[in-house]
Amino acid sequence: MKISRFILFLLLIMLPLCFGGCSEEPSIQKYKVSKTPLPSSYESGLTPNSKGEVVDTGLPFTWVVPAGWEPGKASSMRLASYIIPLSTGETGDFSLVRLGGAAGGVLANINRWRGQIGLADAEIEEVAEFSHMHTTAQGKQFLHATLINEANPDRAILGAIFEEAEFLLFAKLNASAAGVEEANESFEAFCNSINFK
Amino acid sequence: MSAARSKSPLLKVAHFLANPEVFFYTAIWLIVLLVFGTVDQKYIGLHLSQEKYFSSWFVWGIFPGGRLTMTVMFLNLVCKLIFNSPIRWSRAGTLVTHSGMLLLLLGGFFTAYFSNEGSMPIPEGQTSSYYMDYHELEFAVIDKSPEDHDAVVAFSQNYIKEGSVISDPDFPFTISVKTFYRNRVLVQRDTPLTDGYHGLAQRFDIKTQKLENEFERNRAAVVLDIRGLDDEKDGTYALDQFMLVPQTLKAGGKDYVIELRNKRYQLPFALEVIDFKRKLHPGTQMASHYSSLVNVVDGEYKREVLISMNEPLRNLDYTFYQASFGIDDTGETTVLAVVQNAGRNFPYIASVIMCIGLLFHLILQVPKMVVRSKRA
Repeated sequence: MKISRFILFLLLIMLPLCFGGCSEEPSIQKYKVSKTPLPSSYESGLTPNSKGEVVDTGLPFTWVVPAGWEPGKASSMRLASYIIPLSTGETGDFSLVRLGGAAGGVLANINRWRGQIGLADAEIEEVAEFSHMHTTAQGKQFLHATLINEANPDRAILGAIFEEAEFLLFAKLNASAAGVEEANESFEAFCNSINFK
Repeated sequence: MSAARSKSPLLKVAHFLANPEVFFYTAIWLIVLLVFGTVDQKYIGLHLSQEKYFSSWFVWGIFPGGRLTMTVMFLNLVCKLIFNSPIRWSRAGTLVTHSGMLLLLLGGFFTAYFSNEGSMPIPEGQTSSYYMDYHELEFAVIDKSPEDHDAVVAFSQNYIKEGSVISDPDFPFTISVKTFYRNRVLVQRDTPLTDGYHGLAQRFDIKTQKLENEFERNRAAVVLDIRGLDDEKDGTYALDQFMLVPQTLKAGGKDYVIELRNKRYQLPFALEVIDFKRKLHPGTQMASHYSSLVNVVDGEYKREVLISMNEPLRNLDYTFYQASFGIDDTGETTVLAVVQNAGRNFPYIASVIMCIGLLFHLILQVPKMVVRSKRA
């Protein structure tokens, strides 16, 4: 009886000690992750890769893909998506999105972008400090904004907003501060190439 | 028994631990810890308070922390049950109640060591089979060269410390950790460093800063020395927990990605978000209700489930709660809170056992009460 009690005692007190012993050890895990299958919108050619040629996808505007840009992650919201390899080793993420009506207005959308990189909302009179109006080859004006989070310089956005009667068109490039600086020229080239039918 | 008590030192300790006063004082000490932990939570945040008072062996240097206190309490109950509880019919209720309490504490240990919590953001229309720990980090080396998969080697947080060397036969380079920052600030260099510095380290200096009370808001970074790369790219690199684009490396003719990221837990199944819905309070941007229609994908088997704010999905040892959502120009993303707890049933079972024990104890007292009342 005494021995069986003693064994039971040892078993019970060993349980929490076993838990303690197996938790803090350094560990290495190895596993495989399937490469994400391409979404159907990509397979259908929603994001064309015809560099240097006018891309016409049936939308009320066309554009030209700058050299070096590669097809990027597609989604139902994106009309076009590209990744931009940069000399720093990173890649920029470019998206072209159209929203109906005023889509909340230009300021609200700029502040939405600012929020995405951790910046506080800007007032309308401050917008000129980080943006300027630009004119496309077609003669269309658009707002070009450069948003950089100085406290977190790996988060920056180049944005362009085209105001049309029935929609707003947003071009956006996400990268680091150095990345957007490097990609600015090709981003402007893309925006300049947008041609409204 | 008395002979053994006088001879064996172990039994002497066991009998000392079986003293009911041990339970009394440890219970009081737990209340003290609870009070201090709750108050300190305001100053150091929930996570650090939990770590300091309840998940630690010692607090304030020499005083017993929550883990030690509960271990002593557990030992007390074990010793009491085995060495100091005569097995008699009249004590059956007490014995059952003690067993229930022991099971509750065992469940606590089980949960403390084997449960995980994290978040699982999934963009609408996409599938995910992992969730990310809220606090714990990992260092991942990902071989991107295979056509159909990425081969991941993930090193636990213990490796991410100054002087640690990260290497594995699965990749041909060696990484030495120079400095680790649990919360960092990036300072742009006036002129980029070119001699032996690469990527983020080339353009940014990293400095440490005070930990945030909300632990999830801390942004970790690490400075590394990497040797064995192609094209004379050996040198100093830096990784940030929230790098927009991960650091890529070339070695042995293969492409690798290295990441400092929240620890990822692979699920034995996947969740595919079919549709995310939210309702707003009229005239505001505040969500009154949101839900995610998901497919639980297990091999070829698919099961459609609606996860809403008060209706979590339970599958195997995992529970998925609708926690948050995000909307940007890439679309809607649902954020699920994931809890993996193999011991989640312990408290229920222990409570039932304790209730049965107490009820039994009360019933067994009835004849005694009747006798006493007759005597009176």
